Amino acid sequence: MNELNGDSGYGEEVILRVPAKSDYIALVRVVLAAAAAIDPDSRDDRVDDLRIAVSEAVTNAVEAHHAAGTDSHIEVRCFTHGHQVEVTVRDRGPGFDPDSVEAAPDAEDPRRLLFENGLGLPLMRKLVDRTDIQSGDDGTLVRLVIDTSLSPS
Amino acid sequence: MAQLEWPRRYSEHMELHARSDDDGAWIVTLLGELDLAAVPGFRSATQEALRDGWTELVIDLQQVAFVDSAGIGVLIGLRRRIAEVGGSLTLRASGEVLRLLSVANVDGLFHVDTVGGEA
Repeated sequence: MNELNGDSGYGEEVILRVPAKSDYIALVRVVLAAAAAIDPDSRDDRVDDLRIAVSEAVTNAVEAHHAAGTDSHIEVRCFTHGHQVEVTVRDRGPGFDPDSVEAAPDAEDPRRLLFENGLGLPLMRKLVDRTDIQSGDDGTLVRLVIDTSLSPS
Repeated sequence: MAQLEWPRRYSEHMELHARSDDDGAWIVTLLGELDLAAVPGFRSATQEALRDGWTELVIDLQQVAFVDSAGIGVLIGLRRRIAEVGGSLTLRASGEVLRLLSVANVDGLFHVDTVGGEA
């Protein structure tokens, strides 16, 4: 038995600290998708869903740091255990109330074209199994959980 | 005014080509990833086309490997600006991009041409 690969049974963690700049969002996507795909039973479509959800979370974090005028880094952690992947994205932005984000009108409504933003949260919630958001004056922590071995619900 | 050459590279991960076709449409082809890093360049290139008088725009996303809500948002803004000038917007997209538009519930906003783009 080769102990240098395979599931140790304890889970694995990858931690990234990246500058709050849009050019680094792609880097986070690449690393997180690669980490999720190490599980041989992971489905490509679910890793793709995670890739988009992570991109949304990191995009929000970059914009939050921009809004706050802070140059501190964004911390992304990816914890894999079996088929489950848990990603947290921590920013030091001004925080927000996730329940107060205005929902965009339906596509049939002419006013829909006035909403260019606000798609990130609903997309995260649709693409992964669980999305938790803790936000306060010291920033926001987004937690995404997905079982990459199961087909989308 | 200095004429920028095509193609243009707007981010580490996105390149943009533009040309007119015989029917008088302005065709913008994106290669790479349409995320927050690529949004300013894509937006300015399409606004420039509208300023130059092009009202029939085709955005070819078939070689785009990744789109997220930042990319969808800039497409929605473009759709609105083109509607304001009475023009038309057509997307050429692969199955992956179409699926994301559907999940985001905005596929109904766009005229999508899938010819040659079956995934």
